[in-house]
Amino acid sequence: MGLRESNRSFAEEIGANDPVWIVGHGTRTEPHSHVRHVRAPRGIHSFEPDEMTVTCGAGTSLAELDAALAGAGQYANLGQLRHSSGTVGGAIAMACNDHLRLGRGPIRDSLLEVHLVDGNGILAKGGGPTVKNVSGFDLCRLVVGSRGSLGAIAEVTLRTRPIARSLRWFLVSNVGTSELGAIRAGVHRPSSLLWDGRRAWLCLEGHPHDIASQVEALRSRGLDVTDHHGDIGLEDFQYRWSIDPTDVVACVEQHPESCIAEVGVGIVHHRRAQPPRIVDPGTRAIQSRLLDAFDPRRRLNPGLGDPWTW
Amino acid sequence: MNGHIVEALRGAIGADAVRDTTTELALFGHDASNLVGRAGVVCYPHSTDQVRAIIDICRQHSVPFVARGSGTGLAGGATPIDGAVVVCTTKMNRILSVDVESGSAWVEPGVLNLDLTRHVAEWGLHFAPDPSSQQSCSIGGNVANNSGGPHCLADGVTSAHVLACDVVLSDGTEVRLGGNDPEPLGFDLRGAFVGSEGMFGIATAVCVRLTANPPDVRTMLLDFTDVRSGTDTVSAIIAAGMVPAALEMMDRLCLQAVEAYIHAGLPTDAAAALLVEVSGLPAAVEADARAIEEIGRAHGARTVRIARDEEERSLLWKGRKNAFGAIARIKPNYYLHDTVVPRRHLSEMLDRVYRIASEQNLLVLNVFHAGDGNLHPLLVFDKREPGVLERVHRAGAEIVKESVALGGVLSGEHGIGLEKRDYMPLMFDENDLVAQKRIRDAFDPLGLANPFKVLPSPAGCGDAHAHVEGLWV
Repeated sequence: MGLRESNRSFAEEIGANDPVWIVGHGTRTEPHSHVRHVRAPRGIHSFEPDEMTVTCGAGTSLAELDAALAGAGQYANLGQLRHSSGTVGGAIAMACNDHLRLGRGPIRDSLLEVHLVDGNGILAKGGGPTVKNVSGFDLCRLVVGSRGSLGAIAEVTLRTRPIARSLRWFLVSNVGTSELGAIRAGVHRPSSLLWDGRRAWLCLEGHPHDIASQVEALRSRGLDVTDHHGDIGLEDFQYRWSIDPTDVVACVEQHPESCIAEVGVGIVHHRRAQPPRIVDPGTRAIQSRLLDAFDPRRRLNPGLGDPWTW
Repeated sequence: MNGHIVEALRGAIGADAVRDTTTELALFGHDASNLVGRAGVVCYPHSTDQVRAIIDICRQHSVPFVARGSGTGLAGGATPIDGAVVVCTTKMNRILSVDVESGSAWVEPGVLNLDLTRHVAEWGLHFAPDPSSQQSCSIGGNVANNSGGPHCLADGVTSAHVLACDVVLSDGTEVRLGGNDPEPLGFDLRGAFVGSEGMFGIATAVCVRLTANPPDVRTMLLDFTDVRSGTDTVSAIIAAGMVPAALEMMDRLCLQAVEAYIHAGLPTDAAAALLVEVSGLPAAVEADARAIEEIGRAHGARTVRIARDEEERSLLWKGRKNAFGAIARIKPNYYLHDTVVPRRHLSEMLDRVYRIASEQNLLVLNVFHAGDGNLHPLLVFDKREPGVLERVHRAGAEIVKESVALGGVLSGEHGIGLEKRDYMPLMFDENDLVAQKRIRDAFDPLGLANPFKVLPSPAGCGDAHAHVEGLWV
């Protein structure tokens, strides 16, 4: 069965009546047990290394996608460092960015084209198959992180990237704010810089000589830099704060030993929940109107609540 | 324009900021496209409060409004229809704050693209999107069109460089879409707003992401005796796992026009030339430059010129970015198109472009973003020649259709606007267009923000599509 035919079958399966839960591998959310489960189409439809694009069913496993792309020295940025398992659709719907976001960017920039089934069972497409496209309004950006509430993702076309010649993690010990500043000034566009107020973990991607020369430059500034191969332990921090990156240093200093911050990004992995964030009524209204338009009866992945409470 | 509305606008934002002379209405009746509409009155707000006051008056009188930056758009996105109120943001041109630590800046929409980059240069930063019009185009316009530019190949177009927008909606509500923080709650409304061509509301402040300047840059010019060798080189570079900072192509007629204009020593006898720039850390730059030279020579590159210094690099880029000015030496008028095809079809698409131009007895130059398959066929003509505009429009229509037929898209960076509105069904079926209309309605249920653009009827709801002069659909 071709991918487009699979999409139509997927739309028929979703139908237009009862509530449905779109099931992936269940790695990011617990499937709702009281509603009908539906699985998105699977399989890689096309991968063009010289286009740096890949088209696949949303039910395709990340493992299958990663293996196929790695064969051509490429990857798709779907936050695999945080969730290496699960499906492509799950990664997009949940937008679980990983801690390489500083260098690789957010997941939202990976999606070029999407086919989805709305709450009325209607199949629709947004975006386009090329790496550059401004034709029409940007349904793709809305879908990333929408948790399937605007539509069940059937098929996606993703931008791929070349795998760097080298990727290395380093641990920098005895890092206060001045040392943190020295690290930031001493490296060009690192892939990750994590800091807990005392230690920093630095990820550099690129040419091995460039990585080595940057590390030497840091050491020449008196920084204690060693290779790091172990686990950083981000999973020990239950909560994920999203704050202005300018406030990261203050946040870490206020909560010593309680958090690890993604410097330059604004994500703080924390032991305590983030204080409630305010969402203004105007943006709530837009989001409600979007939900009313795409799934007026809230039958797709029911029970999620309002988007601004996620 | 109804005199009561003009008086109300003057009362709200000041008499000097509301203009309705014949000359100004004519000037603001179009953008940089060939599409001419009709402006009712032109307003120059200085603040968010004034933008909201204008929108309130428009809403009270059910008059549509059109946001306009520098008017450099090429798809008629800022062309007002049927006497709409033009909200010109050029007076809102302050850089509000720069946060060097986080690499971001809040700016008003009228700030010029290049002015922002110049402003942050002292901290080793720049704003990555760099349209050819960057000396005159505004950040607000970049946001509206999700603009690109030669250096967006590696770092992405405007959407990837906008963190937040403060917006006034048509109901007068002020909202912040996105935020300084990386994961604002709920849907990515910021992402939907960028590229919405002024149809969701008016941005009054934009938070942009700034990019660190690369420590090392290598700019190369490779020339070929046939176009296909050049396009094959483009695909081979990408397939080899490199994403250069820029990967641009010029064909022979363009090289000749530019060389006559700037005297950069361009190879005027070549069929095509690639301008390739790699940037980053020294070892990677050296390795990539060497690999690109090898790939180019393996694909028949006749010469590989490497800019020796910043002066030569600037000269090469001056040639690329001023190509549109150079063509005035050939013919007084031009029509610049913007489509994208998969990279592997570049050669075939260029063949079709040459054939279409020949069939319509037109001259065509090609200068484009080869790295992302973004073509810019430039049809040059003298509009005083009887019947030539009809031939230009026929050629444009064919180019768009052929691009989509090859698996491409309608626009890579200029937007749909009025120009390609009625071509949207080539890419999208009725359900797709309904989905897009839903998004627009969620932001602007009243339909007052820049109506008649992007969405063709019937997806464009009850908008009775006015016909504007120069529309070729």
